[in-house]
Amino acid sequence: MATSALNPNVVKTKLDKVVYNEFAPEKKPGYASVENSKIFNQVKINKGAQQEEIFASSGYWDQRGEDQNVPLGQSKVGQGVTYTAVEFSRREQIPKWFFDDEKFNMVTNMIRGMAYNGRRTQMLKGFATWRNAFSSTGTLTSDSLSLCNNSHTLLNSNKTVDNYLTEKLNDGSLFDLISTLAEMLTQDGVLAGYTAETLLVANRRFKGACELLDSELSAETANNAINVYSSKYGIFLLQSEMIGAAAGGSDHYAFMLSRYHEVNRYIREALTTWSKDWTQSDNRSFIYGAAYREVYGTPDFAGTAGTDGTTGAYA
Amino acid sequence: MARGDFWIKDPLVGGGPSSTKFTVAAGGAASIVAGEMVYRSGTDLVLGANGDANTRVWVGAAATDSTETASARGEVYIYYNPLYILRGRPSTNANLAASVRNTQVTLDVASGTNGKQTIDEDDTTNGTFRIIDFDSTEQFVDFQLAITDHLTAG
Repeated sequence: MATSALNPNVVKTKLDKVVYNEFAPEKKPGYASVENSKIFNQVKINKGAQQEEIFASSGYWDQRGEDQNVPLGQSKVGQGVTYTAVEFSRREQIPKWFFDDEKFNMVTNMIRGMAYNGRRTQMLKGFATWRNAFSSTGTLTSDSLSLCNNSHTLLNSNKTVDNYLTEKLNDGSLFDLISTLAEMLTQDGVLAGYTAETLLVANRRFKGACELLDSELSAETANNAINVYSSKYGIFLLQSEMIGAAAGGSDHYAFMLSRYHEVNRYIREALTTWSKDWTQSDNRSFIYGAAYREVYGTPDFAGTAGTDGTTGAYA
Repeated sequence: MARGDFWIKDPLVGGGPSSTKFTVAAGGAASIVAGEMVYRSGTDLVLGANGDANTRVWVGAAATDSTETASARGEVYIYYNPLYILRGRPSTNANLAASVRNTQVTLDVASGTNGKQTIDEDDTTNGTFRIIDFDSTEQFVDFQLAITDHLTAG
């Protein structure tokens, strides 16, 4: 809310200029947003909550003798999980006096600022999925373990999956992330062979990650071996400041994803705006409002591996 | 989670596996879930318990959840044929060696409601589950009910 009483200099035109911070459009190279399906599958939902379970097939086939019955498999669906959509919203109330008298586009910029902060809220909340990927109280998969964990249980196998690395992102650990995806087991214990497609890093690691991926020769090493990441893998690099320490995460976090990851953004209501004219109010004020309603969920760890960068060195 | 702990790998006889209806005493509430091993207790069926072996009359693996309530007798369908080769998980995968083939072993049940049931591959005391084959890589055990013990408590 902005009133003449709170901003007397504006309405009396005492000032010659009001300084606005220009809002930064999202044009950074490799900028990761919550709309990017490489890191968030976009799922439109039509209920207040999304309920999901995990499917597990019946594992490797059995060898069969000539007249032996064909072995029966048992597929399973289980580990149900519910994601309830959450609304984020904001409104501004502008008295008609203030609207009429202020001379510095304050109303326009108030609404602009509100919209920009809505966008930043969406990023902050959405990327909590990645910031909390190593936390037992944060982003959990349907086996009630963190998204990146040393021992994910499998629905139809006694084996476990480890998609949690600790080494800082360097020439060797980057390949460990690729191999972790390739050697990841499906829910029935079959080697999935996921292909590494997208590398997601905090903003402060973007430069180093670019050099790792795109250098002609192996980056930050003492030899002149070819750089397999630029010559053999076409890994797509994304960055976000919403993963780093400034947002409550860590600048050392890095995630490798395949196309078949299960990090989802469930959209119940896209950003909606409304306004109410002063003639419809009891106190002769305009109302501007905006809201969106969505939730993020990771039912399965499949196709996702991450390192929290707590060990090792970058070079 | 114990649903689906055991399933039929091979019914041996022609056609697919079929189930048979049995009764479950009132008192619990859907105490048996599909895939769990059950034994006979009087005229009714009861969920297999930890260490139970041929001191029980084993009937087979449940094909459905049981329908009993606290006050009413229910029913459950069971893969009843003792010829069926069943597949489940070993309690300790590292114990799966050639020596366990054709031994009669017992059942392990994890704690908690409908705790996970596994084949205790190295406990032959009063064992009634006859191990036919295993795969230590994929971590499963194929077994049959020992027919004599299936019919009467040993």
